[in-house]
Parts: sequence; structure tokens; C-alpha cells
Amino acid sequence: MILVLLGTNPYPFERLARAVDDLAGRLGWDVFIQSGHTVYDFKHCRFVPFLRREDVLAKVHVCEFMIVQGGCGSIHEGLAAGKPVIAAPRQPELGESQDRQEELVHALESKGCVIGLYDVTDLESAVAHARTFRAAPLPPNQIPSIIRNFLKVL
Amino acid sequence: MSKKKKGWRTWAPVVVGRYWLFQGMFYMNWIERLHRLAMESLVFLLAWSIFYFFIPGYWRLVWALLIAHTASMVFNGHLFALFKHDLYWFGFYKRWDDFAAYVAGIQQRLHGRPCSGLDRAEVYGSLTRGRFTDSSDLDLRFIAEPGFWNGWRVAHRAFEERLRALFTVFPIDIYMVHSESELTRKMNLAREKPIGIFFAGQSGPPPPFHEAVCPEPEAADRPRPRVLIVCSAGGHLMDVLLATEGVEMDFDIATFRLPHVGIPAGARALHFLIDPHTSLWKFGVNALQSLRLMLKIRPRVVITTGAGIALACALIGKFLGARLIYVEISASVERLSRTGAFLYGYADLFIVQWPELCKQYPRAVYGGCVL
Repeated sequence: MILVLLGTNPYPFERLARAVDDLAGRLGWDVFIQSGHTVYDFKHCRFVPFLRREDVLAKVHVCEFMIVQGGCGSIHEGLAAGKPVIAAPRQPELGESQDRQEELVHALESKGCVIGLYDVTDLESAVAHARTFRAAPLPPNQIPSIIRNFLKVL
Repeated sequence: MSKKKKGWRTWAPVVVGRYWLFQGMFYMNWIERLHRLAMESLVFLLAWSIFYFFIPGYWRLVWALLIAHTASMVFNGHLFALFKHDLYWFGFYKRWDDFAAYVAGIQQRLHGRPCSGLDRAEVYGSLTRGRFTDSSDLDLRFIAEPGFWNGWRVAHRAFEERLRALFTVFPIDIYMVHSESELTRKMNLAREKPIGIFFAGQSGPPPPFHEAVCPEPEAADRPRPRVLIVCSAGGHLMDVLLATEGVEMDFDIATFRLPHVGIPAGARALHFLIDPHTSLWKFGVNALQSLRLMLKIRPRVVITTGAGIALACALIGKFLGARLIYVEISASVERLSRTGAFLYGYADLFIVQWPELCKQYPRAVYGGCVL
């Protein structure tokens, strides 16, 4: 099963939804979509607008790989579970988001952690890549210990 | 500073009345007295010019004088030191950590925005003997360099600290001292060896006040700091929760009211604030909600990953003496977010998740990526 997370960003992300749905129909993929605020008439995929976090985690656990929007929440779920992640940044210019997501996807891609998908027409090759992709480890998160040390000297 | 007295002199109305009447005017030196009278005159003129339209004759004068003198007591006085130290009514900052943190804040302010003419700042009173009780106040003296304007500037700085202490309910008792002989005359130097908390021309960080008085409590019985986490729902909230994973603290969370936001593990409570987005009107509502929340929780530390929802809480927190920790979201790789860039100057600890940002923002600390 391929899990697609469009996040809870209050803007539609139809570009990715359409690309996934078309390819799923053409190649017969089994796709589950958490579609968020994107209203799209999916013909070949199962979808739910919003999922509780536990349900998202359960889906992440059983999926083969993930196609997600470029938000840190969606990417994190995939990386934390060790699943290959294709990340498609939303474009503020196209009214898909307020924030720029491309920087994060670029940075993570250059570290070998995710597969960036900047043009949805490349989805098919990205998926082929994802089936064999092994994510590199991220730089370690030392922020909790920095905060702990700061609180200690208060 | 004063010994425990008995009899009618300790009756609250007498104590407050005497303080209202004299306001330490006989204790302070003539420059600080002049500064105080100048401030009072400003309020008097303002009150008088307003009353000009409402109150006839001499009453106008009387009322303006009363108001100016009372305002002087409240805004330029040691009200909470009076309540805590002299009247034993009520007091905040009864925990040593809170008290010492406030003094550290004074040190940081003196260090960060030096006051020209200030030679040094010293703490007197029972603290110098290592005694910290429920009724302790901070006997602080700003020792000015010679010259009228030096004294004036330092007196003004003392006024600023008084005002700040008023709004944070901190029991402070602060005066400007203009010469060594005045210090010897007014302070019991034989019994009290002052604790220096600031020296003009000091290099490096200020001397640690926390250790100068009491031994640091053991890590186990150290109280957990009260923290408010405030940020937008979604990615911002996830980032901040990953950034504080496993940190020992008591935290409340303030975020948007969204149907799919549950209360995260470990949080004491979940509060909701309105999203200001770009509307000034909504920002005003958010600011009022934030003020109410901050006064209710009184956090020692505010932690945020930003977006506009956190601006008011962060700034109110700074005003109330809380520390601000800003964790830039993982999505900011080459540029700070707008909220991050704005709060960069206010944050006591500014953490970024990508090393490129440290070049542009030297105060930022690189902490790795939380993803």
C-alpha cells in the first residue's frame, strides 16, 4: 500500500492529488490518501480528509512507502518509521500554502533522507526510485539537551 | 534592613501612611530626591491640566497633588517590598530560584544595556549573610560615579528597575548612592559584606548571584520550571514537541482550536488562542487572550516555534520577566521565518535546525534537525 499524506495545511494541494490519482488508475496502485483540505474527486484511491494521529501512525506502519507534502509533520512520520518518503513541496505561488516547503525538501534530499518531487510529472520515476530507496540518517537532534541545559541554569 | 518594631508603628495603616508620606525621601540623596520630585511634578502637571476642565478652584490643586504623590508611591516606590518585607502581607518570589533568576535578569539588563555613570551595583541586607526567608526583599544599591548627571542617570535607571519590579511584583528596595562616604554612612558595612552583581567595565558575564548566596539545591529536589509552549498547530507544534522531548519541565500548551488536536503527552493543560493571521483586529484579540493566559500561568520560560500566534505571548513574557526560547522550525533552512527574524532580538536562547542560518545569525545555536 502506498500512503499519501496531504497534511492539514488549510490550502488545497490538488496538483499532487491529481497526479497520484491518475497514476494509480493507470498503473493499478493500491493508494490510501489522507487528503486534508484538498477537495478532489478521487476515482482510483481510497481517501479520508482527516485522520487521528494514532490512525496515521498505524497506516505509516503498514505502508510500503509514502508520498507526502513537504511539511515537516508529514515527513517526520515517514522518517521516524524508517519508510522511504517522496516529498512534494507545496508552492505558495500556486496558492497551495503560505509557507515555502521547498527549502526543507531540498535540504533533506541533499542529505539523502528523502526523494524530492518538485514537478509532479516526475512522480512515476520517483516511485520507481522509492521502491529501492534507503534513507540516510539525519543529523542528530540535540535540541532537547540544549534546552535542558538552559533550564538548569535559570 | 529595618529591625522588627513593635506597637502602633507596625500597624499596617501607619506603615503604609508613613510610606505614602515620605516615600524614602529622607533616606535618598539629593539628586535622587530631585529626580523623584521631577517625575512627580510631571504627573502633577498632567493631572492638573486634566482636572482643569472638571474640578473648580483649589480642589483641583489638592487632587492633582494627591494623585501625583500616590502615583509616585506606586510607580516609583517599593510597594511590594513594603508588603512582603515590612508588612509580611503577601509576597511573590518566595522560591530562591525565582528570586535569583530575577536578579540574574537585572544583571543581564545592566550588562546588555549599560548605564553610563553607574560604577557598580551591590546587594545588601540579610541576603549578604546567606539568609533567604519568606519575607526577603532585594536591597539593591546602584553606586554612581561623581558628578550630577552621572547621579541623575543612575537614579533614572533605579526608577526603571523599580517600575519593572512593580509590574512583575518583585520585592525590590533600590536606591542610588552617590559616594563612598554616603555608602559607609547608610549601610552597615561591618555586619554586611555586600554582594557585587555588576561592575562597570567588567568583561565577560556578570558574577553569578545564584551561587553567591545559597548553595545550589540538588538536582533531584530542584523544582521543575514552569513552561508555556505556544505555537501554531500542525508542523510548528510537532517541531516544538520533538525539540522538548524528555526535558524535565511542567508545561502548558497554547495553540489553535482545531478538531484534530489532542492534548500531547506530558502537558498539564491545553489552551486555545485565536490565530491572528494577518488581521490587526484578530491580533488584538490574541494579545488579550495571551495576556490573560500569561497572568494565569506565570511561566518562567516561554518556548515557541513561532508563527504569529506566539508573538504576543513571547513579548508579554519578556515584559513579565520570563525567558524566551525560540526554536526555528525545520522548514527554515536558508532564511528565518518572519516570526523568527522578529523574535531573534528578544529570545534568550535561539535554536536553529540548519547550520547555514548560524552564519547570518551569530547568536543562533545549531541543534540538529528534529525530524
